[in-house]
Amino acid sequence: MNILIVVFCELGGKNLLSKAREIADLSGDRVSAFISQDNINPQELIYYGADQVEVCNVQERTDWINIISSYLEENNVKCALFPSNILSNIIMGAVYSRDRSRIASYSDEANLLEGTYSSKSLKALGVALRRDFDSEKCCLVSLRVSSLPEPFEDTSRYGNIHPRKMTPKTSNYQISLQNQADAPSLSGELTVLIGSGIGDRTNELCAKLAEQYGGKCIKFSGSVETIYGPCVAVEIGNRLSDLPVFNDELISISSKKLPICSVADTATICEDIDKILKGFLK
Amino acid sequence: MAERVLVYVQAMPVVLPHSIKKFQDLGMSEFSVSHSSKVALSAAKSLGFHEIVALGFPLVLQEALARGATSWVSMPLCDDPLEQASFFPKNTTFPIIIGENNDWVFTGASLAGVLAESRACDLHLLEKEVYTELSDNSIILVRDSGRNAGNIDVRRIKTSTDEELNSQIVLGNSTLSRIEGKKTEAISGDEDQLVSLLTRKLNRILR
Repeated sequence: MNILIVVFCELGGKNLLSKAREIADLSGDRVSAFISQDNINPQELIYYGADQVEVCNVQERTDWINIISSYLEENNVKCALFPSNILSNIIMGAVYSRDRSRIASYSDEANLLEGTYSSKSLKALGVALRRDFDSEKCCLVSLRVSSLPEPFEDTSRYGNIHPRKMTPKTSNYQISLQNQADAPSLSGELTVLIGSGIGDRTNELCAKLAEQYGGKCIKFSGSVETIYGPCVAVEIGNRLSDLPVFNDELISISSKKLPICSVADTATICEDIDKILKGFLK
Repeated sequence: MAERVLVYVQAMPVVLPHSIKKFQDLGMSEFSVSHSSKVALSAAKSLGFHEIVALGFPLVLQEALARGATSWVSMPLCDDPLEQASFFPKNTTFPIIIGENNDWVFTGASLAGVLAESRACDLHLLEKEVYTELSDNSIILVRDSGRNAGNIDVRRIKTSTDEELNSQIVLGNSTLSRIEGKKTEAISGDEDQLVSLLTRKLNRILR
C-alpha cells in the first residue's frame, strides 16, 4: 500500500502542498489533499503538488474530524499536515483524541518540517522544541504557513480528483465561533503597534495598513502585555523593559534609532515614515 | 448556569535551566501563569462563577489562587495535549475554560479539540469582550488579545500561600534546544527600496 502524506487544504492549507511535495519527492510517498465541495479549484491543488484530491461533502466543522479519522484508519498515512490556526488545531486535536493508537506524534504551530521531525520555535522562551517521527505510525503536524516558501504552481502536473462520497458519522458535539467571519484568520493576524507621540496622519495610515492585511491597529500603552502574531511597530520609543513580549516576527519602523531596533527581526530607520506607510498601501 | 467552572492554568517557564536539552529538564525551571491563562481566569471571574477550580502544574497554582481561583487540582506538566487532557477530572459536567496559549508547546486550541472529542462536549470560541452565558458540559476557548489580563489580588496572597501543593512532575519526550542569538536585519536605502523590501517581507509573513 502506498504511503501517503495528507494535507488539509481548507483554511489556508493549500500553501502546505509544496512542502508536502518536497518531502514526498525525496521519500517516494504520495500526497493526498482534502478540500470541501464548495471551496478552491481541485485542479489547482494538483498543480501545487497533490497526487490526488479528495473533494469532501462537509456540512459541519466536526465532519472534518470524521472524514480525516476515517481516512487515517483506511490508509497507510505517514503524516497529516494542517495549516496552523485555531480551527485547524481544534480539528487536529480532536482527530488525535479519536485515533491515539495510530498516531505517534503531535505538533502544532510548527515552523519547520523535515522528513523525520518537526520543530516549533518558542521565541519568547528562546528555545525550539523538536518532535521526532515514528516510521511505523502517523504524525499530525500543523505548520505555520508563513514559515514556508511561496508555493510553486506547476500546470503540467497530473493527478486524480475523487469526490469522497462517504457519509460522515455524526459527532454528538458542535464547534461554534462567536464571530463566524473570523474563522479563516483566527491566528497570527498582523498587529500594527503605534507609538504615543505620532501624529494623526501617521495614525490614520497605520490603521489603513492594519485593515489592508486584515489585522488590528493599537496604540501602545502599558496595557499591551504580549503580541502573538507578527507585528509592525511604528515609532515605539519605550525602554526594552517596558515593551510587550513579542512572540512572532517584529518589524520596527522609526525615524531614529530606538531601543526596539535591537530586539526587532527587521528594523528600518527613515525620516519620512508616512511615505513608507503610503508605499505599503499602494 | 453552573456554579462551578474549571479553568486550565498553563504553567510557563520564566527562567530556563542553562543546560536544557529535554522537555523534562523544565522541572528545574521557575514558572508563572501564562498570559492566556490569566485571561481565562479573568473570564471566569467576569462570568460570575462562585467556584473557580484551577487545574494545572503545582508551581503556578498559588498564583492562580491569588488571581481568583477558589480551589485547585494539580496535574503534571505535559508536552502533549492528549496526555495533559488525561489528567483532567473525569465524570464532571462543569464547563472548562482554556486560554489560547499560543506561546506554549501545544496551543489551547489543540487541548480544546482533544477535550471536546474525548468528552463529547460542545466547544465555544469566545472573544474576551463578549462573554455569554455558558452551559454545563462545554469547553470554552477564550481568545487572548494580549492586553492586560488583570493583577494579582493582594488580599488573596495569604490564602494562596497557605495551600500545600503537590510536588511537580514533568512528562514528555520532546527535545529542546536554545535558539541561537538573533540578529536584527537592518534595512536601509531610499524610500522606494524600503517599501519594496518591507512589503515583500510582510506579504511573506502574512501569506
